[in-house]
Amino acid sequence: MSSGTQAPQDKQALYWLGEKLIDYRHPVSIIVVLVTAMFAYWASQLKLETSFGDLLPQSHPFVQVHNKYAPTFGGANNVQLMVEVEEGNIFTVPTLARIYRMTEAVDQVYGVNHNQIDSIGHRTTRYLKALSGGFLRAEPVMVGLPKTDKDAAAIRRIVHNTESIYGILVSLDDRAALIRANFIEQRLDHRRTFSEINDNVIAPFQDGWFGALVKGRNVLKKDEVTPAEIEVVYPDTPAATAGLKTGDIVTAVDGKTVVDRTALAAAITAAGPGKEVTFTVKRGSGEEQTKLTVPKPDIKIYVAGEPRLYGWVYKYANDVFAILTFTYCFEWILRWMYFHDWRGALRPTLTGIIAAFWGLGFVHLIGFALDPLILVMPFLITARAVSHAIQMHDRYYEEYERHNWNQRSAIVAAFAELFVPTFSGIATDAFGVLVIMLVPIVMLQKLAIVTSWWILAITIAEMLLNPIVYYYLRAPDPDVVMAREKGWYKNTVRTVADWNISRTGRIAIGTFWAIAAAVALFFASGITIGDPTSASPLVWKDSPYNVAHARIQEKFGGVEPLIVVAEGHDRDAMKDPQALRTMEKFQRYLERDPDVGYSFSLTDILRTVSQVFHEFEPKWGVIPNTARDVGQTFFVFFANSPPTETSKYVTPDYQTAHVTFFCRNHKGDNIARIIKRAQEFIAANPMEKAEFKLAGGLIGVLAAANDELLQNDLLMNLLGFGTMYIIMLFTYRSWAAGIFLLAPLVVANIIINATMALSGISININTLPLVTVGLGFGIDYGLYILSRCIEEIQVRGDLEESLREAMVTSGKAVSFTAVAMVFSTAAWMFSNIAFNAIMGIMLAGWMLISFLAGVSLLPVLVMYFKPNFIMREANRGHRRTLVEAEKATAKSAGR
Amino acid sequence: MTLWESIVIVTVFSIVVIVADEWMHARRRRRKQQQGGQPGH
Repeated sequence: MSSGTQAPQDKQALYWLGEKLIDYRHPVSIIVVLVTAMFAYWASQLKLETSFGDLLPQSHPFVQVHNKYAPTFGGANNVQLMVEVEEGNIFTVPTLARIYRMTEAVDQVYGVNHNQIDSIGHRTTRYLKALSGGFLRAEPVMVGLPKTDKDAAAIRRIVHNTESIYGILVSLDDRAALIRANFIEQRLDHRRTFSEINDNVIAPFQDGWFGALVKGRNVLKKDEVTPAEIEVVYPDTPAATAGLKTGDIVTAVDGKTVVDRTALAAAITAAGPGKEVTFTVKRGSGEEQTKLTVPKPDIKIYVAGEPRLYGWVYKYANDVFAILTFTYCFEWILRWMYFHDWRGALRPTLTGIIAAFWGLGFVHLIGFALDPLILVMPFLITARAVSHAIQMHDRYYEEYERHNWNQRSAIVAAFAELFVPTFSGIATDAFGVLVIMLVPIVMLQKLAIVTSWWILAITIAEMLLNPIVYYYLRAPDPDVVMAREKGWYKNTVRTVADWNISRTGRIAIGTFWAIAAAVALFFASGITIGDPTSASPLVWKDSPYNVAHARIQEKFGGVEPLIVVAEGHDRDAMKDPQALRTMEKFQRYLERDPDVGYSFSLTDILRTVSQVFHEFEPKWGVIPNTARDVGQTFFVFFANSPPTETSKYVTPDYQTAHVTFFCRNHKGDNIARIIKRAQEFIAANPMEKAEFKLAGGLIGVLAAANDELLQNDLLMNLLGFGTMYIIMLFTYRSWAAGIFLLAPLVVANIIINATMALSGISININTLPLVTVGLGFGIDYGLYILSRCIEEIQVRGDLEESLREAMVTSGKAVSFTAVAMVFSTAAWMFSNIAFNAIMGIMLAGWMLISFLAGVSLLPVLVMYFKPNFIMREANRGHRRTLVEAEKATAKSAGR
Repeated sequence: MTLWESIVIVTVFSIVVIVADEWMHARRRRRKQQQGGQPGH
């Protein structure tokens, strides 16, 4: 069966394809549904997670140093946990006992590197103890729970006399202690780390504290439940007042069973301070009930560090479903109001869903997981899919009227006429985004492939399946189609289009965009690479994470590590006094930077040992003069420690060590300056038996990522635009077409870059993919208008009238699409993840500016320059029946 | 909100819109027919 439509000469093949798709609708539908079902299955297996290694530019020398030495000296995934007392200082028996137990709990968190925990409660944090007979021994600061005030006072004395602890693991005002733990990258599980720290490290000691230590889970019997057995009851606490005793097992709180310490802490936390709760206690063979008033927490625990940050991001990630639901319903209402028919609301949804299944299924297929920070991306792609579908649906209505309410003819005509602009739009987006692959960061490369595939998948639903879906759906009522042409929306678009291409409009619009671009160009140069503030831009400034991060920085000066490796040429290189003095000089040099808090290296241990040897005389805090003396001094400190413990300072063969600088923040500018200073020092101060290698730690890997982004940012922009230009070249067979279509986009991009610079949004590994996808915003707007203009001039012969018709028809659908996309993308502003909210607002603004530039500037340029690739098409087509809307446009043009 | 809650809400919402739209169009067609007008085709 054929619709019998007379196809234009150059589109005969497309008309034929449209007919064949309808003829073979059953086999095509079955194949597409089966493949989509397969992708849907894969999509259901998809996980939301971040692979830290994928975020790093693996070929960068800094990252290679980081990868080589992270297992030994510590990596970029540190968690800092600060315990701060509300009153007094930390040197009380209950507080020190809690620090000790919290350190144990941190040591049991999944993925922690047991040899890279720093805390006064950890076995690896040692001090030098002078013994009778002139012997020195390095002993852990705490070997067990302190029991008496005398024990607490002794710990205080040790802390105050140990340079590597005081001010570093205990604040100078004695009110806070720091527990620092490094996580093994391959075992990072952000959700698990987050919940284990909350349940096992924070809850029992802060909000769930009632004055008694409760036994935690037995490390050796992890599968067994350890009941909430009271270990120690401290005097003058609610636990003591309630008459709890060592050995009691709390089995229920207010009648609700508690199986272990975590459940007990959760029950007390839920009750809240000041509330009276009833404990059911198993004592000996009997069971008793006792009342206890929940105290106000006397300590505050702050947790920061990258694994913690991502934990918060995952916690907030579920708000994607609320945003998805809101956006879906909002868009449905908008489309229903626009098309006056539920089919107009459903058809773009089908395109979006099918493309999403293909996209998400492919993500799983290539072994990639969704990062919660790129969740805006699927929304953007789906919005693009919906945008193309709206154009098609609008055209279908128009052709339905033109073909005298013949559904099949209308379907085929809409398909054939919009094939070129739709496919060009999809291809431009899909190939434009591939330029992200230039950045040698695995996450971005995977993202480029996935995004490109997902966008290409739109062709399946939008082009292959589209005529078939229309054929299956009942045609709209003709009066519904007619009513749309007489509505206020169409009239408004017509009025704006008339003004836009009038002489006054052209001058006003041209001048406006020229001034806007010039002003924006001035401000756009201020855009930064890397994070713009010390607070993490991923979560809101007043979020618990940023509050904790700021508080820890305030108390301890700096906690974000930059690890510079001193790699020896041979074994025992780290015993060379010249190398050690250079390392010490390096520490003092870089500590002068305002954003470096403090530093640590082997030389600190050497100086401390020498000083203790000489009864703490500061003048003896020096590096020995010979390698032999250095070796002996190291022996004193490391003699009683296993190699796994000492290797965090120096490799067992003394060939390689490190200098770690703890920085106050990871602002892009500060990282660049600190790295530059480090490089200057290294160049001016060579070591004979070793060389410095930059750089590990969070600051080191961020420096590498920023470096790659800086190198590739401009190149990506140029290649992105270049790709679009080439596709335009083939689409319109014209060198000039790309220039006309890209001009509004370039203006929009300059304005957005200026907005980013002024509002403190920087280019970093998270913003880059979204910004690159944004490059192509608006190209499809221009494509639809320009293609329609060419189509119209073929039958009308007059540029102004053709342009007006293009603006009233395609321009109307474009304006509706843009408004719908802007509102739905802006819905992200309600996200708890600040990054997603800011990106949502920014991308919504970007779409709006691209749309305004596309629909207003492009017609002005076309009217002014009258490009040959449009003019040569004049009067090349057959006259066709004018639909009601076209008659109105002709009337408005005064013809 | 979970994924399944979201799916249920959007599905129910879509069905409500479709049913409401069909009902409105049917009512309009009936009214036109009662007034003696043509349904459009």
